[in-house]
Amino acid sequence: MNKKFISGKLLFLAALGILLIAWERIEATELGYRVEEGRKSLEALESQASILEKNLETASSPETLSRLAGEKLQMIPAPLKSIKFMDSPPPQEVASFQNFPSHFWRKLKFWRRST
Amino acid sequence: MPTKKRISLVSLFFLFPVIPLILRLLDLQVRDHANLSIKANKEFSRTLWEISPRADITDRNGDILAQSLPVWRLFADKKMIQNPNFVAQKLARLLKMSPLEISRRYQSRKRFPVLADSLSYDQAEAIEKLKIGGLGLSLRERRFYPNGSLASNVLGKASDGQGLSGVELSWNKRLTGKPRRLRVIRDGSGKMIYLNADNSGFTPKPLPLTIDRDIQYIAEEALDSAAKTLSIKSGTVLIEDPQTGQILAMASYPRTPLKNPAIQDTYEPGSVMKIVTATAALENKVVSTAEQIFCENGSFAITPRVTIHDDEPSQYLTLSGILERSSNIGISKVVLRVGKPAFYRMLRAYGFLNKTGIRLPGEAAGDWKTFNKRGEISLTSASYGYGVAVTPLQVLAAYNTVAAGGILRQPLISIEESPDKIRKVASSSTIETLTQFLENVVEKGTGALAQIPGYSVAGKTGTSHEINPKTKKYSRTKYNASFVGFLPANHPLWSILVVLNGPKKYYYGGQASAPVFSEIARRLIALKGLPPEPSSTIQNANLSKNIVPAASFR
Repeated sequence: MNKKFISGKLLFLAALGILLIAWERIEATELGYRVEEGRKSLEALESQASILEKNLETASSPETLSRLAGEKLQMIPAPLKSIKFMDSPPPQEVASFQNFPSHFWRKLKFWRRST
Repeated sequence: MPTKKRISLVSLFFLFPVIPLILRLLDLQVRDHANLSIKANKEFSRTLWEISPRADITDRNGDILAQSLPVWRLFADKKMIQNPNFVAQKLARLLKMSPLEISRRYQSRKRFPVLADSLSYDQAEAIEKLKIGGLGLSLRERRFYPNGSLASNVLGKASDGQGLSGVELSWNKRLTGKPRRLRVIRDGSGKMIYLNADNSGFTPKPLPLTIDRDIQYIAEEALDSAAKTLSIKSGTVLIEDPQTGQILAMASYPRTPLKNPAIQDTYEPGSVMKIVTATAALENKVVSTAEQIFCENGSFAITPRVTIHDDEPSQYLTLSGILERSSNIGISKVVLRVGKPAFYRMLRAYGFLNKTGIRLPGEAAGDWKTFNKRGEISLTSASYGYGVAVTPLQVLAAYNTVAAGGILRQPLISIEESPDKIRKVASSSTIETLTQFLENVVEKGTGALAQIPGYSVAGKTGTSHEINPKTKKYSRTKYNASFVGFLPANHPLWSILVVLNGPKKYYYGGQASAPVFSEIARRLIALKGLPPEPSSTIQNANLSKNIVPAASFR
């Protein structure tokens, strides 16, 4: 009775072991399929991303922008003399006394009068 | 017979046929295991090489100049295809080709004819879904240049992962990655099952160039426009950052990825070479800045047989005046005082007759082989840029040296290279004087058309006769017109060289190339928002262009 029980147990364990091994192999294969599918979809996405990047670079290239600006918006490169530098006025103006703050002039006139 | 025995006999009877099977299994699994395992592996497992795309090439701001994209090639196995016309009909819509064209490609002599190249992922997937036996797809990479021909002379060309010219060739090792190896097995239906991967593969990082895409475009546009108005045969524009030696633009006309004339072609530069003599004279103190040199009223016989002429006859000129008026007689007299050894040393010091060392393929060193055997004629003609062959980049590097305070810098093409000072060419006082001379050239000399109101520009014009390749003599009708300079003169941000070969309408450097220089510089100023300089630093910025006679643009 005891012997039969032990052998039954061993048989059960062996069967369980075989099942485990089989399950592991099936899982590994399943995982292999999934990895391969994932790799393929990554390849596809990377391919699409690089195509989009290429399209973006082509669309934003100076040649394309210049052509479109000219054709659609009638834009031309700005001549230098028509550009005004707002934050740094031309230095000849800075050097001129006319542009000094009014309180400076008042002080200067006062000083002249007093001397 | 007892029941137990009968059951045993029946069992043995049924088990008996299994015994040879077990023996055969043992034979296959134990005795022949190694051989059979190898055969099975060959049948089911595959080693794949994942494509490692060639690195992108970007400009200094990260904008892509060259990029690799995965594409698929469709081929057929003639032995496996029974009905080629049916296959052509099926593929026509997907490949956007006529069945006739597909059939024509199929008719090639090869067993595996290529039906279509550069297919996208979607097209490749759609073809796979058709499940037509005898069709195969192979993955490869294709090089794209999103900006079209922009900077194509610098970038060069690559095919099948191998650089053929330009940056693609000289930086080939840096741009090439290593593919990753994958091991997979195929099941009964041909589906792949991933096993493992080797992680030694890598995709290289993008290579950043020193080129600025916008500046390159400005240079190319100006050159193309000059090509239209002046009907030039060829031309080059170079822009460099004087503080680092980084090349910001390298444009050429006509543009081809197989040739870069800025470093591969040599030419006789004409009067832009006068800077070498002027530097040597100042450095060796053989001429003072105030000294008046007699310029023979425009005609000077060096030997009884050889006479030099000036386009604009002059009596007495200072060294600055010689450069302003670009007097060949004046500079010849100066170089005779400087002497051959000192002139030669200064020529070498500026980097002429040596490769600049820029990391681009096929750079020329220039030529002056018979220098030591020549006499005074060769020395004087070299002083105004004849009899010496130089590359446009060497000329720019020399003027960049003046812009950088006398330090010759290595021209760089990639940001990954660290700026390198090669040598100090002349003392700071000499460089200051030279800068003033070059400013005078633009303010009141031959370079007047390079002026930009509100900004100080220093530069020099150059005109030389082209050599006729057939007669090996100087052409009387074809010229090389150049202008090289930097701005703002006191704190230079850009050194710019313009060389136009064979301009038709105007041929003097001051007439043909200086306006191109001015146009490029104006657009650079607008692009970077550079405010005007204090008026005290610009002596005569609004000088009228009309007061300079046409003959004095040389």
